[in-house]
Amino acid sequence: MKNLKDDKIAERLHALADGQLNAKDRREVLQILENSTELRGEMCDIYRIKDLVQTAYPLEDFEHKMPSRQFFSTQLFSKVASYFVAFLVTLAAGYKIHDFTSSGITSGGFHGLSIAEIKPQNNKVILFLGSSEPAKFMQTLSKAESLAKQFEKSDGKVYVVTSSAGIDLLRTNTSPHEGHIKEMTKLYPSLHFVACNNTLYQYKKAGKPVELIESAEIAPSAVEFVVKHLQQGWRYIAI
Amino acid sequence: MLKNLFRPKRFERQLELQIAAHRPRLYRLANSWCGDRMLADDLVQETLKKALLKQHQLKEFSRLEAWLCRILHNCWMEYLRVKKPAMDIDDVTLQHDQTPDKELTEQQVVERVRHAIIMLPLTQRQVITLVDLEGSSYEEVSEILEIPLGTVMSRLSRARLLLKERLIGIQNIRSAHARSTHQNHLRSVK
Repeated sequence: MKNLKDDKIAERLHALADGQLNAKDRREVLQILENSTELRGEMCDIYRIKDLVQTAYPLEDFEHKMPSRQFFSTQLFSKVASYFVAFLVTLAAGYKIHDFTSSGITSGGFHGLSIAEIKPQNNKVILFLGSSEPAKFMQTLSKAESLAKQFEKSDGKVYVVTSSAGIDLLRTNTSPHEGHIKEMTKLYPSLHFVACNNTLYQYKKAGKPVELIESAEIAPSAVEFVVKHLQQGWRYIAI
Repeated sequence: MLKNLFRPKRFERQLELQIAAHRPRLYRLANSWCGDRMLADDLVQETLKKALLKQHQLKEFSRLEAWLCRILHNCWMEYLRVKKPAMDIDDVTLQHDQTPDKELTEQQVVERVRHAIIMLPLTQRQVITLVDLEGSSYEEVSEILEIPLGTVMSRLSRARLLLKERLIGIQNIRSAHARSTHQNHLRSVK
């Protein structure tokens, strides 16, 4: 017989993964996750499926391989349109950052600590990047730099965690910001760039091993890395 | 509505540019729904044509993407009604010649995932692609597909469960990966 309660919990896990829960519900679901290894495994699977769906339909595949007919007749028109959109995207980028901590998320630990006991650490921040959109690269670096500057004298830390397409920020052959990242990591010892090993493995398995920029570090799994740090009171900002 | 009638020409021009710029995203979404590039292109053409004709109906500029997805959904439903009038849309699945046992090269992983998505019931396929590809909120999906929020959640949950079952081989890569990473020489963080 179908277990309605299980269905409800599953739906809430999906909603958590999709950023669709309010602060109160998020805390409740994290509390449930705290007590169940099985559900934490399911949560990882949900992120994995999301990653796979996104990997299967990269936008650039559909930008470059569209059938030849054009919606608007002149190429000039398309060029103007793309410049205009790039401008709007950059302009709007500042408003798209979601800071979950400011809306009340302070998650509990998986190992004995309850959510209420965790003290949020305002100078420890994870920036999570899962997209290869150039505007998001810029947004991530600018946010990371401003936080690192801010934390210079307060023993703070910033981890830029990349996963899925976001890993392009740290690949030598795809990142337009390699020099900038090197400079930033030299200038701000508190700033770290992290790549998800699961994503690297996908590339390796596909016969395309990834070369990361010098200062990049590796985490076994981006999801686990983020969850673990959330349990320690780190702030989390998804770009 | 009155406000829309008096929108400046410059705004209309910007809206047209924005609509045109959404073409690749709509094309990707249509492709994930129907699995046929030419048909997807036709659906997007139809969508953009309708969007330009009805642009005065867009109430909020910030809702443009959801509005375009809604038009695309209507065009797709219209196509199915005309081409396959007797078929329940939940039964619409597409043919695919990929076999799951081939070696997993990058392209094959992509093909296998696409295959698994295209084999989902249409109603689930639409929900998961809107959420995961378009980044639509559940509320937006509910508006675009004209279904209750609870239905969005249950379809999404079922779609991901089916994908998990069908992509089990790819899932396993992760654990194999964990074993293989013991030997790498890259710096790691915990």
